[in-house]
Amino acid sequence: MQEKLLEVENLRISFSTGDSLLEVVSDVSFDIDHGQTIGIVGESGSGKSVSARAIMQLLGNNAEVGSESVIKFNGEDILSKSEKEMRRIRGNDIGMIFQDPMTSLNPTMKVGKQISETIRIHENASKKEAAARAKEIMRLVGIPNVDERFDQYPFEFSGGMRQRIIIAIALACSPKLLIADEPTTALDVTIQAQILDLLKDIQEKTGTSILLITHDFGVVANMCEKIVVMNQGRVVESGTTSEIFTSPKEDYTKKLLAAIPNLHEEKSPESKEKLIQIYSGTREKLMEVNKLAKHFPIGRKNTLKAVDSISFDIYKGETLGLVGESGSGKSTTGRTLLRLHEATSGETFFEGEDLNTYKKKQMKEMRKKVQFVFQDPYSSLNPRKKVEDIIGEALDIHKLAKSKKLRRERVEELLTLVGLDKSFSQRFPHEFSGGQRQRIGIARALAVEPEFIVLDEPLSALDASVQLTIVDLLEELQRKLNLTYLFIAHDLATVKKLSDRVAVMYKGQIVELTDSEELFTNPMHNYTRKLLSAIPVPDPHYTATDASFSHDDSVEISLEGQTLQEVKANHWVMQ
Amino acid sequence: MLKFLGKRLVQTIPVLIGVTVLTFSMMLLIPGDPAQIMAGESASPAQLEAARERLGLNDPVPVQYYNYVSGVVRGDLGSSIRSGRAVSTEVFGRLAPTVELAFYSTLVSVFIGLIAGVVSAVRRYTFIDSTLMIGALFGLSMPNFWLGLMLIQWLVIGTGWFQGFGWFQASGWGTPQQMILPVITLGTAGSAIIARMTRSSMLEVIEQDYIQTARAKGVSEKKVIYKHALRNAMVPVVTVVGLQFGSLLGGAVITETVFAINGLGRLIINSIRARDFPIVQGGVLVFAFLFVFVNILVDIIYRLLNKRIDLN
Repeated sequence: MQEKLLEVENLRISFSTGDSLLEVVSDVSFDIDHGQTIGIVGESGSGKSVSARAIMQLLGNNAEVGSESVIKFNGEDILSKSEKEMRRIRGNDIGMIFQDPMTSLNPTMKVGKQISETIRIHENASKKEAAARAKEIMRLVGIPNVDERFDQYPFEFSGGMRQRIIIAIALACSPKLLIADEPTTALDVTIQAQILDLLKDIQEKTGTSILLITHDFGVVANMCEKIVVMNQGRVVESGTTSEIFTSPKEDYTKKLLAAIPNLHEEKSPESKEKLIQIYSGTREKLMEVNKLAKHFPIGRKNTLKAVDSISFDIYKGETLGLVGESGSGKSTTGRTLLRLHEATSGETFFEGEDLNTYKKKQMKEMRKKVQFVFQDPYSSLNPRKKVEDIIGEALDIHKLAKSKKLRRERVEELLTLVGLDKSFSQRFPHEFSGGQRQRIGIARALAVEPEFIVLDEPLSALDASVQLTIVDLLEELQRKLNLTYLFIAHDLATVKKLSDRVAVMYKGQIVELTDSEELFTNPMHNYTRKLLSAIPVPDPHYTATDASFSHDDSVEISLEGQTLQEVKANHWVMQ
Repeated sequence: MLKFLGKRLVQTIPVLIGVTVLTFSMMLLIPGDPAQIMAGESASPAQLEAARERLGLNDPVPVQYYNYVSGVVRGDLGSSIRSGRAVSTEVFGRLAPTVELAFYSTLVSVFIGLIAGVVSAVRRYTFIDSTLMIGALFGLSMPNFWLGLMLIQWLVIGTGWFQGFGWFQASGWGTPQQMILPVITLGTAGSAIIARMTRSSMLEVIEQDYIQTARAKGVSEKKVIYKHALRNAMVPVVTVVGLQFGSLLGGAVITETVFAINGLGRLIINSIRARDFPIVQGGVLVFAFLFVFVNILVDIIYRLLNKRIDLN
């Protein structure tokens, strides 16, 4: 029998925090065969990344690995190796890919050098040989114009291209094991599909084993042969991919699987009722947007058309989803709508009144009716303020609380409304989890009793199971308070669940606009179809049916001379 | 690069104009009548009037400014009241020791500051780190005239330990023995600032993801620090060095006085005492030009270090 490539047994890792030891990984065991791909799936704080770092011995000084733990790589005991011996393994036998391509490359070093550096360290190669090898690997990972790009700096590359460079660095010495720590989490869905394709392709060509760490079941379904599910530092369950998907044993695994948004779920009767009213014209319009455009000057000569003449309506009580990838102009649209940016041209009507004619005082009145919930629950709450003051500030600005006592009561009421304990009002943001913080953010938005809330990617920073609870909360609040949402997101799956209608944005334009069920069952614009086909399908037995879409970026979708037209009742497509 | 340089030079024009406006208005703001100072206290009204005419003080202010600037452009900064010699001769004759002093002090403070900062950051929260940072705090807190005097007291006069070796001399400029103490005096505060800046900048960079990437490649810790971290950490440090050079020029005024160095700083101090205003005016102008020039240099280094600035 051939030996396993990697064996991890009883891995226990603690971090010292001041005087006490905090155990973050307990009793974790798994193994990887030669040429195998396994996935470690878990939510944030599950200890999955820390376990991977332990394999590389890159834990830092304050970490301690338990004495009973064993990590064997290629039959050799990793934990007993000296730092010098480890350096020979890192980058040579084990390559590592990190999550965020924007920060994982040295900004002051040419990318070619960053790749050839690995080769120069581990192999007795001359500068020239190493450069030639590096270029070869750049071609392997699909970077065009290698000779030219070799001497460029990271800032000259897009996120997807940078991730390819990082993969190239990891692959430079043909490692036996590739550890990919959330390699696609920071990327757009179409880029994610490209990178996953690339990883599969590389495995076929080089025969390396891959340890894929992710929070996303969709990503592992089609990549991995085996899955290890982790929670709070322990292995909950492990097995082959189809075992885990078809007959999960543990409740936690079931819960995670249930949190995967279902694209084929039918919309609620309530939502259908709303659509009938919208389409028959019996529902009131809240906002009317007419040829709105926002251009930013770049330097003296060029302009960036972030939003390029878009028109749509938002009806009272509905959720309009606005989907697009980074740079599509979706956030700018949200901001320009509320005059947080001044529009370059176009009109916006709020309850029938032209916002452009509003003076400062009227805008302040209007802002009371309109609120924002931001993407990052970690940076959008002032860390030095108590929850009571964070939520209460909005009350103060609009003078809605007559006394300190009433203010506190109102804050507590809001906390209860978003499903938090009212005693939380006296705590500071750092004491809360991401999901709880986002609830605080929502409570802050609700403080002034708005009619309309712009939700700017409120779920992207949260774990899947937490996302689900926030979506439920938002739906419930909409029902209770008759709120209207503009839901901005890059993730089609969550958009589907929350939105009544969806607009797809691409290059500053709306390319398709219809109700969400129609969009998912009958996507018409090429870009929408590309987006949909890029969503990783959380089903191990699924093979792509729409093979016409290679996830190749080089196929530009042109919008030249096209306009948004109603091609079918209530289904608008750019053509 | 040339385009950038051209642009940067054009940008300095308004700054230089501002500088000439300020030095010019010094003349107008002097308490008392410049002509009176020139002609002496016992001058008759006729002599006063002649002095006034000679200085152009009867012209309207804009004309006076125009004359002043055209003089500056031609290198004519007027003439000294005391010696009667051209200000430019006096000032440039004394420039070398000052620039040398500032330059060596910068070198020393960059050298010491970088090493101390990097060591401190790498050995964070250890005894070495605390020692270095407490040292830096002292270096920062000591006024340099006091430090200069103490160095003279200990190393030249006081304990006798160093006496007779002739290693250190407390006056003059040119030989290494004369230069060591002033350079230490002037460079100490700079070392301290650069050390602290380097430390915090390094600590920030070490936490970055790309340092993790480098470690995962198998790069040795030493190379991680010097090849990957330091260059990125240098970017904010370079800015500080540039600003530091400016304050060194100012500090030179004091240090030169303490160590009796015949530099520009001492010339300015003596001229203030003697109310020799054209010299003061010329000296300040030269200092300001130097400062502007050094900051252009810093911008160039900054760009070489950080290619991303190309975009802007």
